[in-house]
Amino acid sequence: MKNLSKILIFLCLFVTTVQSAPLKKQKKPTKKTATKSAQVTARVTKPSVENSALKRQLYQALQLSQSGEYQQAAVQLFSLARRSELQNDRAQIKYILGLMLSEMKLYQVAAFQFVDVIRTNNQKYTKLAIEKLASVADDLGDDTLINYAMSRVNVTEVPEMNRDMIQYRIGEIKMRAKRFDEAIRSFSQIGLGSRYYSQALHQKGLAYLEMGQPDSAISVFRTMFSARRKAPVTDTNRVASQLALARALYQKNDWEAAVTAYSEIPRDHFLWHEALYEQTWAMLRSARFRSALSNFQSLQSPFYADDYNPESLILRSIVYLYICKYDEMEKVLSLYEKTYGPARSQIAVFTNNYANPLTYYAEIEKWQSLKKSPEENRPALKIPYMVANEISHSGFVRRSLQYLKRLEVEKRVIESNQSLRSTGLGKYAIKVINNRSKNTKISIGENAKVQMINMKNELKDYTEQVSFVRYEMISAQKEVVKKRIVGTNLPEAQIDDNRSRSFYIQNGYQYYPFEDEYWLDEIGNYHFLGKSSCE
Amino acid sequence: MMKFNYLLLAVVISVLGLSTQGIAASDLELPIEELAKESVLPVFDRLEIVRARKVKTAGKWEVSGNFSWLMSEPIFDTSRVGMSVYKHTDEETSWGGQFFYYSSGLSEYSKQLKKQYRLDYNRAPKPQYGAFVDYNMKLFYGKMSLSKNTTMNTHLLGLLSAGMTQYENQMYPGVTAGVGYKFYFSSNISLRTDLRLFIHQAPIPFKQGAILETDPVPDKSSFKERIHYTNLLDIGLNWLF
Repeated sequence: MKNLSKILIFLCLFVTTVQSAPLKKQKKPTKKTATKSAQVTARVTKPSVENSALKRQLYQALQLSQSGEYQQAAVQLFSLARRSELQNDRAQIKYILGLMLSEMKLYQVAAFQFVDVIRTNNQKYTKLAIEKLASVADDLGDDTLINYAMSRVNVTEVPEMNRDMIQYRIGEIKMRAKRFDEAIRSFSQIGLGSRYYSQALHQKGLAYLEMGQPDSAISVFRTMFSARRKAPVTDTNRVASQLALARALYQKNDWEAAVTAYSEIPRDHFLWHEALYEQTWAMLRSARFRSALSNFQSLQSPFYADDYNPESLILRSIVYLYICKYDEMEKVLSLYEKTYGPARSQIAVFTNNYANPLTYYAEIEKWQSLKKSPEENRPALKIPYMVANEISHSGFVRRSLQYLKRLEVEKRVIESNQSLRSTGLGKYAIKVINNRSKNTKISIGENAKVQMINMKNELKDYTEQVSFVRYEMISAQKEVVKKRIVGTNLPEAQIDDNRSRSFYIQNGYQYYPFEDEYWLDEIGNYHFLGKSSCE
Repeated sequence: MMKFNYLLLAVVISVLGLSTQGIAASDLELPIEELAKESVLPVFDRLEIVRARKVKTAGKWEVSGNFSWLMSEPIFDTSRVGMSVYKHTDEETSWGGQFFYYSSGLSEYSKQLKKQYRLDYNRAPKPQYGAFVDYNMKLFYGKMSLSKNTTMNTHLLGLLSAGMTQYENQMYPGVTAGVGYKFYFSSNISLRTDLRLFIHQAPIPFKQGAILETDPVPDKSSFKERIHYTNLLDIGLNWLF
C-alpha cells in the first residue's frame, strides 16, 4: 500500500513537472508583451510570478510526499488546493492530498478529497480517485461513501489487487437493490485467495435463498464450509457457513436436517444463540414439541433477559396450549405481560414525546455505556434496555456505530497531534469529522425511531395474540372443569397438578432437578420431560 | 431471524396434526443430537455464571452457632463453642463478629501426664473466651448434585479474622486465616466448615518448677508468652435472613 502510494505520487510528480514546463515558457515575456504598458504588464506578470512560486511550493509538497513526510506534504497541499491560481491542478493536488491523508490514516478526510476530485470530472484523476475512494470507504465501512464510489467505478479499470473488494461491494449493493442475479454474478467473480471469499460465498448463498433456490444455496454454503474445514471450530466464517446451511435446509422445509445442522453450531460461538432459537422453530415445524419446549427453557432463561423476543413467549404458550399445560401457559403469558407490557408503554411514551433523531441516538449512546455497568444503572435509559439492545444490534445501527468509532479514532489522531491540529488542514479535518459524526448520529436516531415505531406496532399485534391465546386457554380450562363436574373421564392426579413440579435438566448424562436457578453451563442442556396433560 | 406473524397459529395448528410422538410417549428417550456433547460455555456479552441464583446473600444478615476443635492444641481442652453474626455487604463479601467460649478442662494428653507424671497443667493460664472480627470473601458459588433428586448449593470462602482471647491472666491478640465451605440445605440454612490457621500470642504452659504437683503454685501471670500456631477446625450451622 505504502509503496503503491509512493509510485502514484512519483507518477503525479512526473506529470506535474512535465505540465509545469510549458507554463514557464508561456510566462517568459516576449518582445510583444514588453512593449505593453507597465500596468498591463504588472497585471499579467504578477500572477504569473506568484503562479511560479506556487508551482515551486507544489513541487516541494510533492517532494515531501515522495520522501514520506506525509503530514507536512498534506498541510501544504491543503493550502495549495485552495488557491484559485492552481485551479487547473486542483484535481491532482486533491488526489495527492487524499493519498497523504490515507497514509496518515485519516480516511474520512481523505475520502472527501477523493469525492472532490470525482466531482471535477478530471479525465485523469477521477478514475484514480474512484478507486482510492472505494478503498478508503471500505476501510471506513460507510455505506454512503461505498455506494457513491461503487456507482462510479468501472471494475475492469481497477487494479487486480482491489478488484475483489469492488466486486464484493457491488454485490452487496445489488443485494440491497434486490437484483439477486447480478449480485450472484458479482460475488462469483471473487476467487478462493481473496479475503472476501467467505463473505462473498455467504452473500451468494443468501442471494440464492432470496431467489427461492435453496438447493443452490446449500451447495454454496457447503463449499464455504469446505473452504474453512481446517479452521478452528469457532472460526466465525466456518460457523456462519454452518448456520447458513441450517437456514437453507429450513427454507427447503427439510426440518430434521435443519435441526441436525443447527445442533452442529458450537455452543461457545456468539452465533449459537441464533442457532438455538431457529432450531426451536425447526423443531416446531417437525412437530418435536418436547424438544422445542426444552429449548424454550434456555431461551427464556434470565441469560436472555436483555433480548427482545416476544415471539418466543407466545410460541411457547401455544405449544403448552396444545399439550394442555395450562398452568405453564399461564406462567408464560404472565411473563409476556410483565415483560412486554411495560416495554410497549415505554416505547409509546417515548415515540409520542420525542421527534428529534438525536434524542433517539442519545438513548443508543447511553445503552452503549450501560452495557458493562451494573443493572441498577439501567433506569437512566428512557427506553427499555432490551429495546435499545435490539436496535443497537440491527445491521444498520451496528455498522453506523462502528463507523462512528472509526471517526472517533480519526478525531483522536488529529487532536493528539499538536502540529496538525493547529493548521488549516487540522481544523478542516475536525470540522469534516464532526459533521460526519453528527449526520451519522442523526441517521442512527432516525433508524432507531423507525425501529421503535415498528416495535410498538408489533407489540400491539402480539398483545392481541396473547389475548386470543389466553381466551383459548380459559375455554380449554372451562371444558376440563365441566368434565370434572359431570364426573366423567376424571383423570388420576397428575404430577402437573402441582404447579411447583420440577422440570429436569440434563447436563452431561446426569439428571438433577431444576430449582429455578440458571447456570451458564446448563444453557442449551435443559430437557422438558413433561407429557401431554390433555384428557 | 424468523418473525412471528398472524399466520403463526395456522402454522402451528397445521403442524400439530402431523405428529404427537414427542409428547405422548410414556418413556422418554432423548434424541442423541439433543444430549450434551460440549463442555464449553455459551458466550454472552456479560459474563455471569449463574442467574436467578437460589441463595442470595447480598444485604442479608446471617447468624450461626459453631463448634471448634483446636486440632494441634496439646495441653488444654481442644474444643470451644461459639456464636457468630455476619452482615453480607454484597455477593462477594461479608463481615462478622465471632464470640467463642473455651472448654475449661485439659486435653486427654495432659490428663495422662497428670496421672503418670503428676504434671498439673491446670496451673498454667487457660483460655476462657475470645472475640474476633471475621472477614469472609465468597470465592465461588456452586451447586452439587447429591442424588437424582437432590442438589445442594455451596459457597467456597476465603477467611481472615483478628481478635482477642481472654486467658486467666490476661487478654492476648490473635489472627486467623483459612478457607471455609458452606453447604446449603435450603436458600437460607447452611452447614459451614472452616479450616483455619490460628496465630496467637499466648502463655507458655511449660514452666520449670511450676507444673509438678509438688511445686509451689505459681502466679498465673508469671508464665512467659510467645506466638502459638494452632490448626482450627470449625463447624457451624447458619441461618440467613
